[in-house]
Amino acid sequence: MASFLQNVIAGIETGSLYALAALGVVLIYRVSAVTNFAQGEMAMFSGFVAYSLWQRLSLAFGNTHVTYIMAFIGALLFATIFGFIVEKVFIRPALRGSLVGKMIITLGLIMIVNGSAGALFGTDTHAMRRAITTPSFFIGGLLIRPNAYFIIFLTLIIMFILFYLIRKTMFGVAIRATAENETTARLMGVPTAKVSSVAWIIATILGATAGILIAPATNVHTNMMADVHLKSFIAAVLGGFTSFIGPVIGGLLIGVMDNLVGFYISAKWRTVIVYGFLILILIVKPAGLFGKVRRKKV
Amino acid sequence: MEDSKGTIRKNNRLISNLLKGKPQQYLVVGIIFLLIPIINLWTGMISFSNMTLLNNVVIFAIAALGFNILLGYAGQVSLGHAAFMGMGAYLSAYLTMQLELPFLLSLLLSGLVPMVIGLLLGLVALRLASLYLAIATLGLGVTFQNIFIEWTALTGGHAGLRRIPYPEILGFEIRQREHFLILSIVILVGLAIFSYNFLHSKTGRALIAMRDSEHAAQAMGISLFKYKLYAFALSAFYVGIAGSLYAHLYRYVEPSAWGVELSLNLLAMVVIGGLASIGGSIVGAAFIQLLPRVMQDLPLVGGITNINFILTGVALIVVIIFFPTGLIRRFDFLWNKLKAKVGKLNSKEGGTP
Amino acid sequence: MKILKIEDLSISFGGLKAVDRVSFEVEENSIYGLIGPNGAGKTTIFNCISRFYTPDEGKVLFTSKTGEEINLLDYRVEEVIGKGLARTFQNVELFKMMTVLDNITVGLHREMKGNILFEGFKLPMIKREEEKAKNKAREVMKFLGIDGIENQPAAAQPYGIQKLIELARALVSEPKVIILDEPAAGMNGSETKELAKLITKIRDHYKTTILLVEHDMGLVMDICERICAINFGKKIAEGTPKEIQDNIAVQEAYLGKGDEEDA
Repeated sequence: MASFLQNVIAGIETGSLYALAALGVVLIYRVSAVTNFAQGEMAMFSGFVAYSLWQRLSLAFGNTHVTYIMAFIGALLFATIFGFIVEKVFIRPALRGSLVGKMIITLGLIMIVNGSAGALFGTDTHAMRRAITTPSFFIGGLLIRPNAYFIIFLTLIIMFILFYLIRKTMFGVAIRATAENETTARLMGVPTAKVSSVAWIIATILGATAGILIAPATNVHTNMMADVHLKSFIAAVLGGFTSFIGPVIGGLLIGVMDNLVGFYISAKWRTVIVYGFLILILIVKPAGLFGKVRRKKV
Repeated sequence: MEDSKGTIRKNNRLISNLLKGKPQQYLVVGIIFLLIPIINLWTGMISFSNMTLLNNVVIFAIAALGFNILLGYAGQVSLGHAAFMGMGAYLSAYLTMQLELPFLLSLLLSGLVPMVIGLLLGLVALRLASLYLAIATLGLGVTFQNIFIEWTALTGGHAGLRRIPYPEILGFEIRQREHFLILSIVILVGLAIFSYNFLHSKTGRALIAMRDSEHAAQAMGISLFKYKLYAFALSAFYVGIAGSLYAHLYRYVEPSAWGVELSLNLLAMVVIGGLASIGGSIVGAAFIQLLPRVMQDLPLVGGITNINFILTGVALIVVIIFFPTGLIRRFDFLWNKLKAKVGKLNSKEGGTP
Repeated sequence: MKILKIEDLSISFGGLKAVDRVSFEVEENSIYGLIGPNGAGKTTIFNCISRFYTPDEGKVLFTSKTGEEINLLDYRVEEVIGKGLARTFQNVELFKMMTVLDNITVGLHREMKGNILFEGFKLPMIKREEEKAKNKAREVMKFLGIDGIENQPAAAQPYGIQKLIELARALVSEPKVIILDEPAAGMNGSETKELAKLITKIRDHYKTTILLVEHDMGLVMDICERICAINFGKKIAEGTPKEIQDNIAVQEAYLGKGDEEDA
């Protein structure tokens, strides 16, 4: 029982990070009709920035919580600028392009961002510290990992802030209007260009947060986000790109399933099994668990 | 005077007849390129590593051709086609090493088995919109790479398979890079002509129709079911064949070669070279394969890690934003301009007949 | 003979009845019009007949090329044209990157023999099939007066020509019934008159039956022998143009009530 519970909690921990990244993907998709396949690579880059800052600051001021937090915040600032620039330089010029065309641009971005990370930071693997360094302890046979609870707690807060923004504020109305119909929203006076810009910034920050928090588990290297990235996409697909809550549930589901399959069935084949599960779901529900299939207009 | 003009005109007509159809052009260009390995057998001007590179270009041109049928002609996205190439490579290695099948038979099977898997993928694709399909195929690629790593009995795991036999055709063992290049050029030209023919018949029109308007295609009697399956199966077949050739060229297969990076490169080849263009697939493959070789000799930039990957990404984005029809159509455009100019000159000299 | 019989057709979207027990019958070799204000369900009926939608109830009985009466609902959307029913779309749906001739040749997809292997090796039989199809396509182009642009890309043609190309694509298979979805949309008065002549000419030359959905009352009144009027998914009247013009319910649907601004 304890090991089951432990696996579920570990699943929720990674799952909430998938959910964060997936939220970023869905946000961008809804607002600018682009599937950002470079989300993971951008998060990896921000992860490297966080790592480098942390190293530099630790050298100068000593390895304390403060330097870690400063590095974290520094990386998020970087992500803000990063998201802004990517949207301006790569996405805006192709605004009127086809869906597949825009998809291909983000695939090109994968190459550029991944390649640049290797060129700037090298291709070595680095160890990153945890957010909460308090060592794990047992409570009646159950291993308590403070860092895991912190991650779950933090993502919950971030999600609540995000949902509050989307549901209750003017900015949220603008986002939802743009997501519904860009042209109409623009004609109604919604500054859609600004909305798209902000959506990219938020998404990049969400990705960076997920990247920095997962780094202690994956280590920092140019491929660190490959798995997280795919799983976050699967989370978005499972939940459906048409809702914001779907991807969160999808992320948690994937995280928990991944852990349980790895523990109870086969650690070796878990990627294959989890992926097979996704395909099954897609065959039964082509728009995801919570997505609505719209009848194609003829 | 009159006579010589007549023969010139006759010769011109002969040449233009020879180059009239695209299949004839492929044949002629193929024969010209065959001269490279043949001459090199005598002179050895081109180094071993550069001959390997040329082989690589041709092998990836075959893969890109197949991928273009899917993305360019049928308009279906896949981010997991590296899986089919890997499948072809491992299969061919297994068939020739373990089952000791003849090379040509295992080459064919390395196309046919991925084709069947491609059919299954097509079945899934039928139900999915392009975005979901892209993600599903991305997952497929990762999954198959995982299978290549974990199914050690068949694939040798991380270490891979070594000492794959040289291809043998009718008792002749292809050991030299030159001979291999002849083989791969012959296969490429054959597939290019085959593709041209069916792409310019009912099947090709159905694929393009499906890409341009699914509704109109259906109203005209085109079964999306049949042609989506066709597109996936055909592309998997070509890519599988390319994988088999790759395995026999390097005589070594390992899982890291068949990752997302290769899938992205396949896509880049097709987009950069030219969507829905046979020549474009070949130009794109040459671009992606030769880029590292060219960059490595350049001062300053040549030393930057990953510079090829970065530049490929930049090229991909530049092409999609500024020349969405690909490089080959740029060439065509210049070629037609040149032809028009030459035509003008000719008509000036000859006067009106 | 009635070539097309629609019986009690109903379909709803998300609880909303878009078409509610609509029935009408179309006489062979006639021009039949379907009219109604915006959102009345005309195009939905078309989409049910051409099998893009599957209605919840009802039958679409059709006398196919072989002369037997079939229920089109037993067939898939891509099988419809082979039975002898072809259609056009409200917003011209051409294959943009294909040449004009290829666009029209696609209309013969069902009739062309051969498979991918025969095509790949370019067997003589494939060459013959291609030749035959292209010739047929050229004939139709000539009939519609759009010959000479065979090898130009379809997307480069002006809107009016694109409509004719689409018409040619539907005609080339020589269907028993051809359904036109708002053929006069985007045309001015004189163009519409030309179209009226053309539709009649097509009917006479190809011995075909034409079913059209149209907003332009002038066109419908001019050329249709019988008309069915729809409002809110229900049939409100059926008859000759004169009867329809005089029908109170139709007048109300178009002019009265003030909630529709169509004419």
